[in-house]
Amino acid sequence: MTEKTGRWQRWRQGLGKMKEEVKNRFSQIWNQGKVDEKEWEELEENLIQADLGPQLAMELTEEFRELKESSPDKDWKEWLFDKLYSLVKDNHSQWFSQADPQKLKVLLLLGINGVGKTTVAGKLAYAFSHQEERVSLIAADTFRAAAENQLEVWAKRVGVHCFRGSPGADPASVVFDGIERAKKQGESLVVVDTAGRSHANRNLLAELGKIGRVAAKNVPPEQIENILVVDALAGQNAFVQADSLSQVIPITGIILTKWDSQAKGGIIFRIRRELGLSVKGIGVGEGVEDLIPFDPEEFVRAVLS
Amino acid sequence: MFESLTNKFSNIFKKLRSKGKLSEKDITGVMKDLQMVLLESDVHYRVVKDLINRVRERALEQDVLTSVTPGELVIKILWDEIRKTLGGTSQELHFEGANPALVMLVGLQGSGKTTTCGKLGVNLKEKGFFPALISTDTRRPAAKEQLRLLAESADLGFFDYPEEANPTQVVKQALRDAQSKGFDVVVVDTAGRLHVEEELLSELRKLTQDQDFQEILLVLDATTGQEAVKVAQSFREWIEPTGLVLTKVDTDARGGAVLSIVAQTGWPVKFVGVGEKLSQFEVFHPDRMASRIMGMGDTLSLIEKIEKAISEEERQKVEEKLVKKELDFNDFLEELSQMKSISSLEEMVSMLPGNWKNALSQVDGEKNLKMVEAIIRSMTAEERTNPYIINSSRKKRIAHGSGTSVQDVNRLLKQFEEFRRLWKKMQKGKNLPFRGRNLLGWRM
Ligand SMILES: Nc1nc2c(ncn2[C@@H]2O[C@H](COP(=O)(O)OP(=O)(O)O)[C@@H](O)[C@H]2O)c(=O)[nH]1
Ligand SMILES: Nc1nc2c(ncn2[C@@H]2O[C@H](COP(=O)(O)OP(=O)(O)O)[C@@H](O)[C@H]2O)c(=O)[nH]1
Ligand SMILES: [Mg+2]
Ligand SMILES: [Mg+2]
Repeated sequence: MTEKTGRWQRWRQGLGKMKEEVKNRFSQIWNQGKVDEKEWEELEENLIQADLGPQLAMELTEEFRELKESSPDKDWKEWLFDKLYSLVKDNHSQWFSQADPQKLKVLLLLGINGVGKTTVAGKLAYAFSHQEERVSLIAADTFRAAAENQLEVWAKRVGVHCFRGSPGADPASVVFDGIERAKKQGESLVVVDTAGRSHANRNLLAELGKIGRVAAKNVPPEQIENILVVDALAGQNAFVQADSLSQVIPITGIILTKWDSQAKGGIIFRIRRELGLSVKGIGVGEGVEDLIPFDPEEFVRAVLS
Repeated sequence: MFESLTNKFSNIFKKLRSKGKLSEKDITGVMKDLQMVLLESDVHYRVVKDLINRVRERALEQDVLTSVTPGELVIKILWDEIRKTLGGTSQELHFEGANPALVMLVGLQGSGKTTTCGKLGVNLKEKGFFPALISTDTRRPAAKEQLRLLAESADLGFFDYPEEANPTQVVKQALRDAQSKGFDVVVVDTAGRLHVEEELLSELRKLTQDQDFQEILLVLDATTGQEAVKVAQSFREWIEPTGLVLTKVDTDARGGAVLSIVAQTGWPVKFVGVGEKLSQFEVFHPDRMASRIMGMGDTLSLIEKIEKAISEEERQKVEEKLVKKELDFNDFLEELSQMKSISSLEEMVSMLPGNWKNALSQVDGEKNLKMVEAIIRSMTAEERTNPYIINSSRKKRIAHGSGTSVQDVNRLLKQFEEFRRLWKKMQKGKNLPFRGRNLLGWRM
């Protein structure tokens, strides 16, 4: 992981703010004799700003306070590492861990509008086709203007086939046909791009459920990944969203996009804790290679380094 | 778990609603809860703090009313403050007579710029303009195609230029084309850019320096979190947006980010997007947005109710003051019911000044309090307002009705006399011990 290319740099930069502000605050408070209420509050504020969410921020502040008061000779950095690492260590970053490599795998992308599903589809097709997978893309967003064209451009870029239905076709039937085609072609992976949808729209949600069932009927569950795409800049809503989508389709993992926005990264801890879902990858730009696998230990080290 | 999050706000208010009065301590506790809710709505930390402080101050100053609970008052105050911050009324676009007028949409990737171009086009067309849409986004695959399809579907003007042309060239050409083809507004779609991508931001600045834009709208996704303030700040460093468009308001995001940005920049919110279709576009209603941020769909009707109750009660109070000369049993009953909401009556009585303590010495426990209440409730309306008419036969009836003895009734009448005497001493209709704002530290 010593790669010095642009994407890794952007990944590190994404951590920048969280590292500096929060770490300095921890260290300052620890080395200080008396800490007044206002300073504790400021620590909590820093953690909220780092997108850990108000609840986790409050807890972490409380626990750190207890530590300082009860065991002042402990190594607070170690404590913080353990604390943060415990939140992410059970993350399963690998894809299709139980899958039969001889059979077709289906990777379904879902999430609200504009988070980066189509872009992730392109990036995944690229990454997997460099790992000996025979990949095709399925354009199941038949709703947004030019969504299929967008995916088609990605397919060309990556050099894979893009399966499209007739305009306005039922997305579930497009997925069915796309899977059939991939099987016939002896492909090993299809990546399915879907239309953005939120829990407010029941029809679209039901449609997503249908897409999920079509996939489940045609390939065994261990051959399926249903990946929720989340924007790193998203707020609390991301969690509500995940909750409502998982009512119609079993989510198996998360990809966090727009990490290059320097969104500070606390959201990962929160995703792990509140959703219990594994982060599979992080999007760090608009280029085809700008998707980075998530390694929990390395992540926490980078946060605290 | 998410259910409980959404319900949290209403729980807080339930807590408040059931209270007759709030102490400073109560308010502080509730403010902590409110702070959490606003943070969960993605309002920026600083903005939350500021807002909470203002609400607390106003809550403590607020006169207590009987028909509106303190909790309802706090709802109203918070709602008022949020609405005030969001700006009073909805705002129109200003073209200042330019023909063709130039409008540009900027923002982060995926925020909804292209869709909003289409929506704005439809909106302008409905108002009698002839808008044409152009794309300067060469970064996102098929971005121009997307805009073209949207323009076609709504029968709007669309100019197609080669991808190699730079944005300034494209805009200049579009102005000429608009003029010759009779379009009076050019709506410019731009590539999404992060607030940390300085190169792209400086490209945008160059464009705004080369051309005069009547409106530059920052398109903000309602699902944006704490970072929204930074986004606005950095866009402001490079260009000067004239307003905001808030998109995806149809999702269940509360959209607190918009409050943060408006609080910080003062930019008006000009439109909101409420769906993917081009028709799903509305002018901004600060009232509705305030309710949304508070996570309460039905706040508006509640607010109306509270407002009505307040004005009604104020009117009544003024009238009462004019008509009424003396304290009666209705007041007494009201005072007692206020006392009941205070958890430990003994404690309260012990804190009273000496003469009050004597007057209330009978009322020294829940049981006694209940009895007193029962006696008063057995009185007729006339007896309550004019206790002098209570003769021995009336006393018997009241005792019977309340399940007490005539002695009990007598004791209460005596006690009431004392109470009334003290009340007069406390100067013309001013605060009674538990009703007042400043007595004993019980404030509201
Ligand atoms: N900077 C940045 N932009 C991204 C990233 N992922 C997606 N985008 C951009 O976000 C916008 C929306 O992406 P798209 O894939 O169309 O989202 P979808 O609506 O969920 O399919 C596009 O402009 C993408 O180029 C990322 O990791 N970093
Ligand atoms: N639900 C909803 N979706 C919207 C709204 N506005 C835009 N979108 C969707 O958000 C996604 C990104 O929009 P787009 O206009 O391509 O964003 P851009 O990258 O900023 O140009 C698309 O799927 C749009 O259909 C809205 O008001 N509500
Ligand atoms: Mg898409
Ligand atoms: Mg666009």
